[in-house]
Amino acid sequence: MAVLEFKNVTKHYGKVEALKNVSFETIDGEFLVILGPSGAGKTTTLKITCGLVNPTEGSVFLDGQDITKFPPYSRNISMTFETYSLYPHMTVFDNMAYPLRSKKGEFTEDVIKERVVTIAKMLHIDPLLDRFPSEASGGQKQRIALGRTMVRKPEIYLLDEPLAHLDAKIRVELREEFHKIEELQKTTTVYVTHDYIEALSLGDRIMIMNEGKLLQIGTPEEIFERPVNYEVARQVGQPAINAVECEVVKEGKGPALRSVEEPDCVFSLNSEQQSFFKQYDKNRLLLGIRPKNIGLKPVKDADEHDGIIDVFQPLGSEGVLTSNIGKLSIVGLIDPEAKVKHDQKVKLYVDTKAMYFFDNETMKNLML
Amino acid sequence: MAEVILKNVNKTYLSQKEKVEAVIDLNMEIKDGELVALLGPSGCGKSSTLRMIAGLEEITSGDILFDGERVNELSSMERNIAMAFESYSLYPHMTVYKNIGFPLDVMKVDRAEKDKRIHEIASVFNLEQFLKKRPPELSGGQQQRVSLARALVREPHVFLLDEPISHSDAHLRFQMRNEIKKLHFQLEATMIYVTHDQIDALSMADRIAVMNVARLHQIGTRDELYDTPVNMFVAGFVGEPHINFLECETAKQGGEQVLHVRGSDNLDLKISKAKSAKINEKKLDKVWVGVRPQNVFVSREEGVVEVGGAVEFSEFIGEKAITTVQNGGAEFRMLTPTDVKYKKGEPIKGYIPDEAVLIFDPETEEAVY
Repeated sequence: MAVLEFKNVTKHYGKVEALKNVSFETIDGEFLVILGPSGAGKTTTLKITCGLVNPTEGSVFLDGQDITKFPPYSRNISMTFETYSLYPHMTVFDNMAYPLRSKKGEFTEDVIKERVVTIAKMLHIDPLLDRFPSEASGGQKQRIALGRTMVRKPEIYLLDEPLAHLDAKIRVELREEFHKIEELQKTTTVYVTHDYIEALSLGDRIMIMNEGKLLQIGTPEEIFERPVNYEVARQVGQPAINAVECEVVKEGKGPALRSVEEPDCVFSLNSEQQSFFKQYDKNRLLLGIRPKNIGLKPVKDADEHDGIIDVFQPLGSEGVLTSNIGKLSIVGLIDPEAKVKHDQKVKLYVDTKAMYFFDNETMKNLML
Repeated sequence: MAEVILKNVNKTYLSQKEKVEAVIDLNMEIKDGELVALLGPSGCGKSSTLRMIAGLEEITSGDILFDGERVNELSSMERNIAMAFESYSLYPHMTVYKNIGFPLDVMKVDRAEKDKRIHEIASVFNLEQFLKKRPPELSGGQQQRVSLARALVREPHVFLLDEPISHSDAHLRFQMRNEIKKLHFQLEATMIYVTHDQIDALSMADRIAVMNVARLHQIGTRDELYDTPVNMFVAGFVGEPHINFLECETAKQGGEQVLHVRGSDNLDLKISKAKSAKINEKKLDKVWVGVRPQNVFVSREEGVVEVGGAVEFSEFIGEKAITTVQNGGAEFRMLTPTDVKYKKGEPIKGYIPDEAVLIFDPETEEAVY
């Protein structure tokens, strides 16, 4: 059993508030991903968990026991760092064996060999055991660092941006491999990243942080489909969600939303949305539309708008189209093999049932 | 603007211990006004190539020509190029304003014009608020943008960019790709862009030059690299999500030739007669098949080659879902609708257009067309 709990943890570094009253509890065995931009407090959260840093306020519990004051070596928690920190003068084998040799006599050399070789095979680095870290590629170094954390079979794994410094291609390959490392899948693992695709792909649950605060914790679907506020919606998705400041217009066939930047652009609402806006007591709001809900092909109940193409970025499985509806710049996704030109006039279709509505001051999701 | 031609270019680094061939026999023609991306993994030779074009590295053998004129012996200054390199230093004692304006000072552009251009480019790269600051006060990503702005404020023959946006977050990179692409369109500039990230290459380049281990494998448009890669390296490297590679054997089923996927229970690809004929022409009884996950469709109308199996797991990544399907000892991945939740073990079928089934010779790893 390994349930990690943070209760009202706050951390100040001088005047900087790295963590602001963070509370959460992991589910035993889950792969929890902490997602957020630089400076969100993700690494601080990990360092407080393994004991490298003490909280200014609040407590940390492991399986119900208060470990806040425990030194790192008496918590059975292992952490890998963004910069692998492998010992260059030791072989890969010795690097991985190091944590098992820290207390003389704790493990026999036979046990050490067995553990190291098993884990090395699991991570496909067994051919490197007699080599030195300098002979390993970036992806291999990453796996050696990971292997070193795995040999002591900790109760909790803490992985700090393990894929950050690798080539894009290798990041995708290793991300796929993480799914298959059973040891990580069944042991409580807290994985930090700034890449939302890694988060959605790997997390049983995702914890979104920004500026020291915990914004939301939930499954990938919950985070993506029911973000609690605009900040969460913005972080999860590429390209980022379109944010259009709108006024509620109540004349005519029922409430609709008019863009403040481009008053000729009006988004219609379905009957369910209209009922909500009939009651809405404010005049303004922030409308969120994900690029995947804007395209050149008509879909059921879509709003049609006249647009002019600005830039087209054809990618792998989709193409990213930036267009202008009057003065409003909007991003949509289309076929990557579409032949479109700069300044071309097009009809843009917006799937209005998939729109998000945020309070323009608090940024909260109005529909939750 | 200029056309850049590389003829039999080689770069060899000699040290006490060894000889490293960083670039071997490179032949490439970059048309005037084209944006070509040099794409490949770390160590493939793309940066060495760029540095030779820039005049920062000696060319061991071969020629580099700008508009037909051999530039091997010319210095960087004399080549009239602009560079935005990942580690290209900014002047730490000068403000961002002065750093960006420096090339214009050298060119003796008049003050009013210079001020206008600096503000324009600063606005494009969200640097307005930093104009009075000095480089050491900025983050890595901000410094990169200043470097890029400084390169783009001039109008040189060729722009050389080496991973110019790598230190920025995903959203900022998206915006900067838009800006670089727009600038390219407006200036009609010849640009050579080095990157290991295919998203950079795919999104901005007119053509992409794929390199690996010192050699150029293929240069072509995004569609050409996607639909007709010359070998397994290109097919595997360029493609998001990663292509499926299936080891196959030719077999007969009901009088027709099919490709049986090794280790599978019943994955037998009913490829077209034309494709079968090509395989037989080369006398291959074993082939590697490449199929991109986005070409395996859930709907029967999309393709004639049927595949199927049981769902192993589904990766939901927001805008798309990638489902891994198992069939006996073989597996493949396909894109599935994000609003459908598949259970582990659930049977699933996929349909592939015949032209999306890529065939590779297992010995040479070259594509068979």
